[in-house]
Amino acid sequence: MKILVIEDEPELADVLVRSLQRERYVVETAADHRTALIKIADHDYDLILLDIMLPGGSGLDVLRELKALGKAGNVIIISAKDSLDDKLAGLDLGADDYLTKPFHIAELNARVRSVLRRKTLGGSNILQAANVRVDLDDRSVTVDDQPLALHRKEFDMLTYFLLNKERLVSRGSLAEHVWGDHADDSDDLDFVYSQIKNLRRKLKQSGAAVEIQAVYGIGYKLVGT
Amino acid sequence: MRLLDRSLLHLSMALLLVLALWATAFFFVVRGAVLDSIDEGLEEQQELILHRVKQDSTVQIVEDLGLHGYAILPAHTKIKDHYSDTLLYLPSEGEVEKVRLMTSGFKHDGQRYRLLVFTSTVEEDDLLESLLIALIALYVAVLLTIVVVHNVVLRNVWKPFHAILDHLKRFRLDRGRALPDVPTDVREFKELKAAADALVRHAADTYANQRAFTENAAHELQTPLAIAINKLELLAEQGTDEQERMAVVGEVLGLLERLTRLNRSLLLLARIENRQFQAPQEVDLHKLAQEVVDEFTDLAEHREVKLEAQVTGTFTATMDPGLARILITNLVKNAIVHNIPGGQVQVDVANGTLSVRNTGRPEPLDGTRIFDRFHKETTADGGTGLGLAIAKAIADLYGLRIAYRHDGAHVIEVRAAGNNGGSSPR
Repeated sequence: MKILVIEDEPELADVLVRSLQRERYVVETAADHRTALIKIADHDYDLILLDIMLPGGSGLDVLRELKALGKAGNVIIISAKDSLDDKLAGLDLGADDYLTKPFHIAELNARVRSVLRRKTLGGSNILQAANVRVDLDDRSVTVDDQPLALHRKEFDMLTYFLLNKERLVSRGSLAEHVWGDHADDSDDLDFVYSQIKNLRRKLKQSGAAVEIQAVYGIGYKLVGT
Repeated sequence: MRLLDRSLLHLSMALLLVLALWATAFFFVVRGAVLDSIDEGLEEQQELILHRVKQDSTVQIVEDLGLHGYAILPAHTKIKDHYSDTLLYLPSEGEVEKVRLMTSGFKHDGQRYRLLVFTSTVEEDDLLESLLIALIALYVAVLLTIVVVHNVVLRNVWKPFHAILDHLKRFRLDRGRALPDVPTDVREFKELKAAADALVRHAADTYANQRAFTENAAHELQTPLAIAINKLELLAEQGTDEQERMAVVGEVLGLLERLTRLNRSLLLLARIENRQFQAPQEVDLHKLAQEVVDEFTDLAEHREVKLEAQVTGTFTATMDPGLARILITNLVKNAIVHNIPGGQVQVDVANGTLSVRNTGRPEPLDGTRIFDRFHKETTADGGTGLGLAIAKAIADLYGLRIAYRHDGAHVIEVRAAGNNGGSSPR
């Protein structure tokens, strides 16, 4: 899988590259408008992470160019501007997703996985880890082919963990992904803990070969057992 | 052109027109009266002559009108009495003068005669002339009076206006909060002064608010930044205990997330106030309220708070759907967070009103301040202190009314613009 990161802020580009490399993707970067245009003209990428505000031009221009080249699929826009207009313009031009800075690495991972899965697996929406199988289309979970009943939020959490297998998911990231942008005080992190407890219990009872480990003080990690 | 000159110009033109019309009418009226009196005199003269003629047995023909003051001439037809103005040579004066001539006819011994009598009208003309001169003098006098009144009296009357204008010109927002007093008993100037005062007060308040807001925002950003820096410094110094290090990292992450939320809230507030939400549509707040309540069930349960929604009517508003959700979310979340274990949150939607009622601390809150930015009753919860400020900004943007009241429980109520409370029909 080859991914192009178009981002002018070197620190952020570095973090993105390192995080994506851990997922064993091949990652290239472009730090400005011109480089970006050259790279997209010369190569084919499975996914492009595109910053909207670039030195030398707008990321939307890059998107237009991609559309003209017939390569507009598989673009995730990452922008500091949380503006609906930009979002709509981007999605209209064929981008797959729009992520507002700052974002959690786990959230980016989940979105990258979703986009790539849609492209490479021909639209199949199955996530699998050990003996746990999640069907995103009919929102069902099976463990060793036995159905496992989960509440809506538990299902969302499990999906998020599967998209971030073996990676650290902070409580803040989890809360925001599952409960939205309004989990904003310290007490709510305990609230996340109480929800995790239920999910863990259900996984254990069903004999799942995965486990949600606590990472002390920060969050959780889904690992195989 | 000064206001003074302009009004003077209009006034003098109007006055000229009125006086000219009036003078013309006056001239004709007076002239009519004068002629009437002359004609009466002529009639008397005619009767006197006729009386004398009738006493004689024969009528003596008198031909020279100018010399005798009258003339009697033979006539062949009947003559009706009539008057005319004409010129006549008067031998007694030795010149041609304007006269009023009366022509009449009479019959004596079967013979018709024509009788002419006249009076000189020179004196009457002189009178009319004097009248005209007097009128012109009046016009000039009135005009002069107006000019003087304008320039002296009105200049004084307008003084408060110039004073207010001067104060406004010199007013600076960063100095002073009000304009100096301008004593006046003219209603218009009082109104102007009141309007100027209100404007200045509003500007000064807004300015003060903005300044406080900037300071507060900076302070709110400063605190987590300081803590994060110190925690990382501690981490750098600390030993190798893995758990301890992770704990610090977790705390720093938490602080940064708090900063992120604060920043998002500030940006949202700015966007609301800059009116950057452009596509309002009909939003069913009663449906949305139910959705938001469902979403918060987990959190309420975790906090041991009973969360209920009761929808007894419809409440539709024209607004941005995203903002509508944020409005209700902030109210509900606020009610859950500032609650007590075993407490309650009741969301009621009736026709045109949405109220969120919650248990909490027993004493009422300061209803004027709870919608202020960064106003917090407690500091421990890590909230941004912007939730209710955002709710109010959204309500204000779409003309909804939002208010707090305390009736044993804390109630925040949102009402449609035209709804004055109760359950009035939409």
